[in-house]
Amino acid sequence: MHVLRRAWAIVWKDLLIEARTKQSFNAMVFFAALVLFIFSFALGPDTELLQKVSGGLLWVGIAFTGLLSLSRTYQNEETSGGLEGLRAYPGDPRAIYLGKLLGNIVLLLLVEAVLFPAAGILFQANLWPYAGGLVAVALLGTVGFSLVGTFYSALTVNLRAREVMLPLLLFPALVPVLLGAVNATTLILEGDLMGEAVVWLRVLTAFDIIFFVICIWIFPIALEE
Amino acid sequence: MGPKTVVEKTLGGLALLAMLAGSYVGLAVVPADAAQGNVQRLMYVHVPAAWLSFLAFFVVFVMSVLYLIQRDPRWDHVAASSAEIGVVFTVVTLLLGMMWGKPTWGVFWTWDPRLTTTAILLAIYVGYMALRSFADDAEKRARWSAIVGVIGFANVPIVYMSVTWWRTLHQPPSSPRSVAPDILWTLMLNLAAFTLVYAYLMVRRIRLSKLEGELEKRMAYNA
Amino acid sequence: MRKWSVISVVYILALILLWTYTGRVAMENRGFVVTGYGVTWGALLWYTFRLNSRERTTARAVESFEVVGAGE
Repeated sequence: MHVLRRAWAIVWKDLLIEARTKQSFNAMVFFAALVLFIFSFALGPDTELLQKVSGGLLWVGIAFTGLLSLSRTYQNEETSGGLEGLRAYPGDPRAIYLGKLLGNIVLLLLVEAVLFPAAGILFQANLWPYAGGLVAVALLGTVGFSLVGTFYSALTVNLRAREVMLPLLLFPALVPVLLGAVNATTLILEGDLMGEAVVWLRVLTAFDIIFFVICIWIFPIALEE
Repeated sequence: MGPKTVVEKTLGGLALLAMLAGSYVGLAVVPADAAQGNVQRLMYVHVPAAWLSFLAFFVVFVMSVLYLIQRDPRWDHVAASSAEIGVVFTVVTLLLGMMWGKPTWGVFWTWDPRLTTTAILLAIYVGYMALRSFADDAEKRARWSAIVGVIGFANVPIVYMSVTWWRTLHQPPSSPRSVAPDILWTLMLNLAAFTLVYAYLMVRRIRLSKLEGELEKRMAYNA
Repeated sequence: MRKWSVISVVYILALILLWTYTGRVAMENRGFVVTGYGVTWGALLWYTFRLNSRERTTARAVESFEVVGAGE
């Protein structure tokens, strides 16, 4: 329980800072909207085409936006020396991982809460009938993304050229998440006549469970001095 | 510099001879495949290269786990060497796949599950090597890259399954044909040759890795 | 290094030989087959050559430090 309490303390601290400054949230929403805009420009004004690829566009947007926030994961500790400061926190280092993970998930979900309706308007798609399925995909996909992302951003935070290294390590590892989320979203938006979206939700769930176990297990080693 | 010990020279010589024999048999001795014709001769180098790249990355995984448990720099040298050689074999595999794919499928690249997984594998281990080149401290480099070695390999089955589902939801997978005996033994000969090459390159690369470690130590000492 | 120029020449000769041979037996798609085997051999030889030169430079660098650090 102590681990969870410590983790919660980190989440609370980071979210409080975020709520007061809104430095990440505003930038992320704006960035995500820009990504959607740029894709729409690149693909032309053909609404039917845009609707067809909207699942892919959404998740590419989320991936890039998430990357932006991941590289800021340990920013709040910058003045106390980044990870060095976090290492000085007492107790199990897993609490740090859990806390940062939860913070990233909440922030990214908030961005998605704005992004999904915005995409619906932009691509002229009525998302309300599919809200349940979309929420499930968004949850599972965001958890998967943040699990690996929070872990790798801790690994690369003190590295030279970390801006390059994080996506270089992260994106190949995230292939199952992106495939699962994009396909599930597309299938759900098409009405999911064959019930295939469930397969992808299972892929996402399996990925989330496996990487939760691995990351929790290895994180103390990554954080060692 | 070249090979040093008798064992190493013998291993290198054997690898060269086996490769020559394998290529000779694959190109000139074994008859052309009934269905695919002569293009199928590429299989004798393509499949062994693919197997060896997978073996090399498996070795990275095992050595990474060993390193994380025992923290012995030796395991790090082996893991780093195997990753680099694995990347070489993976690039060869992909290029051969393209050479084979163009005349049979009509395209250099297709989103076939195995092909796609191999490309992602390449990306994972290029990331592994980039991480190593950016880390300055030997202990941290070993620990961090071992972590990437574990996570990267644990991801391979999930990647493969998701890519397979991604494809099979749209088109049925091609069923494997039964393999003729002379195709099989030519393949085995080449597999043996590639394994010898891998072993030889590993011996060479591990020695280089240790030498580089020594250089790093001396530079730190003199700084 | 002289040894490696010899190996490069042998490699190119072998490719030419293979090209003539596949032409003689009228192998279809010979371009792909020859390129495939050529790429395989080329990559493995090139990598071995790289290992050689990297080992040589590293060994030299290590030795240069030996002189400096001899009086420790």
